[in-house]
Amino acid sequence: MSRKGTKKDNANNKAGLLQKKIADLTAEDLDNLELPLGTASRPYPMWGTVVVDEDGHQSIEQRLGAVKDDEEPLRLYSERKYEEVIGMMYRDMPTPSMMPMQKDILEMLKPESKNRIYFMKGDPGAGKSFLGGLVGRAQSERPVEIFDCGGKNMNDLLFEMVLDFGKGDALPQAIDKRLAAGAIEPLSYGLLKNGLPEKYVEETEDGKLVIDWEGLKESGTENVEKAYAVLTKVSKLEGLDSAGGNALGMNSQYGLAIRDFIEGNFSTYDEYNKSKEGTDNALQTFLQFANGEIDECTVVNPLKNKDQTSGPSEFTFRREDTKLGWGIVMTGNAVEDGTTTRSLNKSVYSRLTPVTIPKPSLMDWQHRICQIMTGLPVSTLYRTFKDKADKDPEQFTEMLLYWRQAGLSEEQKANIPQIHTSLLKNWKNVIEASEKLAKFYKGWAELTDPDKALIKDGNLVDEVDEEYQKEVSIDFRKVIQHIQYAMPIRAKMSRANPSDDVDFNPKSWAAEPAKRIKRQKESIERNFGTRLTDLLADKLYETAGGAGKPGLYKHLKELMKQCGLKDLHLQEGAHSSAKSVESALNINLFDTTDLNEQVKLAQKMFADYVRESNPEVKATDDNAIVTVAQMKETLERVKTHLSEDAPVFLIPNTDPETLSSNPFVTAEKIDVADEKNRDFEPVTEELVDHDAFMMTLAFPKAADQNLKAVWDKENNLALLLMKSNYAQKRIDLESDIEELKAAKNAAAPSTDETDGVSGPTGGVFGDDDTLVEKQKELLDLLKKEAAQLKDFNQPTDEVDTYMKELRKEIKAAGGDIEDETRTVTPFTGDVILDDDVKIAENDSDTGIGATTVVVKSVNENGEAKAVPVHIIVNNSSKKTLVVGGAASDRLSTLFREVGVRHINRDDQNAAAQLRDALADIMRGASEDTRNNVKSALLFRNDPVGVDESKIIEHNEKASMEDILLSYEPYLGKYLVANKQAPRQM
Amino acid sequence: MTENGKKEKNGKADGYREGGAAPAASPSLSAASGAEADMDIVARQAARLKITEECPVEILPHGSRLYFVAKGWETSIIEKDPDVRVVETLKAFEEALRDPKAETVFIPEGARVTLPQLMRISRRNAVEKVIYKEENKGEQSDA
Repeated sequence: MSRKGTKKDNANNKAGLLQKKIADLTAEDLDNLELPLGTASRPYPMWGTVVVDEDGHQSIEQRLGAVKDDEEPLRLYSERKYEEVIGMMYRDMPTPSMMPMQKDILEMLKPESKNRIYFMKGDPGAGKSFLGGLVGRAQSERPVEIFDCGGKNMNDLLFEMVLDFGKGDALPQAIDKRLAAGAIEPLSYGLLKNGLPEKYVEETEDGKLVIDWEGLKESGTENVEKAYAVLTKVSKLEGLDSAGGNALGMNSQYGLAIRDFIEGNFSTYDEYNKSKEGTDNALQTFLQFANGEIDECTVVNPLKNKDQTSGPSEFTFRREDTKLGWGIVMTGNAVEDGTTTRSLNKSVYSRLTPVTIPKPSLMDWQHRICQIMTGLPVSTLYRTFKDKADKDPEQFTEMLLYWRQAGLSEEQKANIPQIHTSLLKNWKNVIEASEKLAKFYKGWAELTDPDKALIKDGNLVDEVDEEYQKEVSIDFRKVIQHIQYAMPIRAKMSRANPSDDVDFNPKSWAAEPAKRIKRQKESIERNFGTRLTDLLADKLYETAGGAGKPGLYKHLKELMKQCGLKDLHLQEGAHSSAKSVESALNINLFDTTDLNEQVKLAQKMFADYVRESNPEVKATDDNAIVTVAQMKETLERVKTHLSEDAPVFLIPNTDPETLSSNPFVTAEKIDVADEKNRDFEPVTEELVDHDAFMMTLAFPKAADQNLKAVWDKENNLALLLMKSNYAQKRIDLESDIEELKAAKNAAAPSTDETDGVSGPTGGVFGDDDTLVEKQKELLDLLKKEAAQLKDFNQPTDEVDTYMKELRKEIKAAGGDIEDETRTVTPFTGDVILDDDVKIAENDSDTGIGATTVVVKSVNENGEAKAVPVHIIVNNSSKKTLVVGGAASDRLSTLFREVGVRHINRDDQNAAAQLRDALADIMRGASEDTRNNVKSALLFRNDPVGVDESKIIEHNEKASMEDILLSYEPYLGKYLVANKQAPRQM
Repeated sequence: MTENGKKEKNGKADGYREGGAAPAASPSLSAASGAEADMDIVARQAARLKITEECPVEILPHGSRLYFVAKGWETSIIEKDPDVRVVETLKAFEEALRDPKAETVFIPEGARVTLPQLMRISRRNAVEKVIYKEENKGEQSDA
């Protein structure tokens, strides 16, 4: 059996070994306890000094590396199983700056180490006591106590006075019962409330006292004495002193330091430099023993015989009695504020040489942000295993998921928040977002630090000072608060819109509001990024803008922009491959690197659709409808068989006979704007089903394909618009020319008509000139038209013939046609289009596209009718808005999950929903762009029941909501199911 | 303190009970039919998922997650879950924190466990647990 296997099997036999004296441990015991951390095949991230080669020069730098040494890895002596320890160490890994401290602590706990105490100082929230707790937890399952030194007499660590309530804690229980029943004497109540140490007693909102008896028992000698006096009085007042068992006493006993030494426990003394000044003198010899300076020391109990108490008189620490589990981590605050935090004795400095934790680096911020969001320090793990992760991202995902739950019990696994798993599956997004968040938090912390803020902007002198810094304290704890606050789905605030359709009927307000919009279940991760970044924006205002610090608020808002937190679209249509924090953390259901998971989701989605749309299908097992393998193959075929620009639509196949082998069939688009389809008469029954089309917009791969196919790469609409524009201008000019000709003929009957050429004679000369000018204007128009037709790769025969005839006429009229180039747009080879046309073709620099397709909707009676589906996309923010008919709850949920906003035009609240959706999808768009989107939709849609002569006027007044909710297609893009030999995908 | 605060399950103090012992509890898992047991498991998962997704949460000093849950069907299910330790006093809460077998702790509404005290107890015990604190709907914390 392998060494590893032996250890695993022996895991249960390790219990108690840490509490044995090191001297009594056998080699086998040590081997059983020893767990390697950081071997060649399983490196453990570590921060430290490395020699770096740069341009032939070597320098010493502090970098992130790894411990990866089979002979000398980090060694941890633990009674826990290997997998539990490794899981803990990867999940709760200290920040890079604190990694060397973790390494030092583990070194200190080796059996051969005489030094068993480690002291670190750092800013609040750096994770000092957490690191102490982590080491203790990794050692064994036994409780790990964190001793709060704040305000305490340090001698209590050696000998402490404790309250003795006797067997069964009868007195506390009797008092608690009376408190709960409200049956305690008012005087007793007052004594307990005001006489017991404040920290251990609290009054609830409903006026009940809650006493922390366990804390009170060992609250330090002074507190215990105070509590003893109070409880003695209360006991008498309540008549509890006479009852049997309600004993109350005070005893001195070994303090935590001695108890832990005896029991072989690891413990953390927190906030050591907040302890009571001058009280650690008695500790000095103990500290010398703990750091290995001396091998024996005796400490004397100063409480012995005090206040009639009994207890041990002294204790002797001997090196040979040291247990393997024994060790101490002391923490202290870096800031010496002179009030609660004090400077330490010189002797403490020299004996314990406190290590100062550096200010958090960007890497540290990112590490903690990742840990809080996912339960794992994804950024540090990625940096450590970068090459492998980049080469095989799916395998890295698997490792992340493994580390997240390694060694946890089933119960603990069940408690992992779903969002952790979702974010880990999207680790690239997490890394991108956390990097920006790290910059933001670091920048925020610096802007609230007077030393740094004033260097940045001297004007902040009136706004940022040390008091303010303490008040807002941007540290890791704030990150925890913010991220946790953003986790649950909360009510969302939208910008006020004066035209909102609010209920203004006082009578209806008296009743509870009808739940007009059925709440659709949204996963927590779908809009996590939006919630988090909205919260951060609010916090900036709360702590700066709203706190009378306008200069700071301005800097913070700028920082937020620079760090790319929100989808602000600083420059309209600016395309960027970098995602904002908001969009990176708004996790799409299908946006996972795990292809298998994507396929499973697709299978479920497809099977649900088939069951819903085809009552003949009774199978409850998804595999009976389509297997994962078939779905995977189909999705891969979509990717490989369809070229990027193929205008082919994928529509779910609902034929039970063939759907399992061909889950999708293809459909085509017939665009009436295309000249060749001008006479197309749609057969409603042949159109693609509304629900089927809608379903594909939420489907992986199919959605991408169909959204591509919706747009018109042939520029049919632009060509049609161009041609109709020229046609109209031609008609106007031709009409003018005809009138001039008629006028000329009427005014000059004597003109020689033999050759049809007017002579420059008499009063008619002026009329000829005007006629020629108009004809030349028409010629110029035709030249432009020909040039643009060439730009569109269209034939120019008709225009060329017309120009030839026109030239003849101009000459006949005595005109000169030498200046052929005037005012003519040269042939450029590029189609130059207005932005509304580009938006209609999804080719606009604004990143916005808007169009309408026509599908069929079948009612309950089986009657089909053609209905429009409007689609607006924002390519910059990767958002899609679809306005169509009703969708099932399941489909609505899916739309949300994949980031498609669907508006049911038949919903009575559709206009308000649409306003909100339009504001979101066109966030940052200029007024011109908004008008162009409207214009783009008007190219293909007309108002219903409006006289043709009034359409233009009507359109000018119409809002975008009117067009999307009530107009009908005029130049439709009909989606037609392939009837014959459909291309099967 | 006895044995560094360690106590076995059968040495329980007042204000301490296993989940599943709540009034009107569903039949025990062993007595329940397979289907009922499955239903119980699904209900427990659903309740936990709903809580983790919708309820305010606070991360305590050593990584424990404290969820503030409005009294409702979710808390009713959590309270009856045999894997959950139900505590009604500070003492029982601290014992649950110190018991490695109690990985999930439920504090019912009305329990004599206040938030500041709960925080302090969590600070002095380096453990990572999941804690559900039931609250009256009208008074739910906004962590």
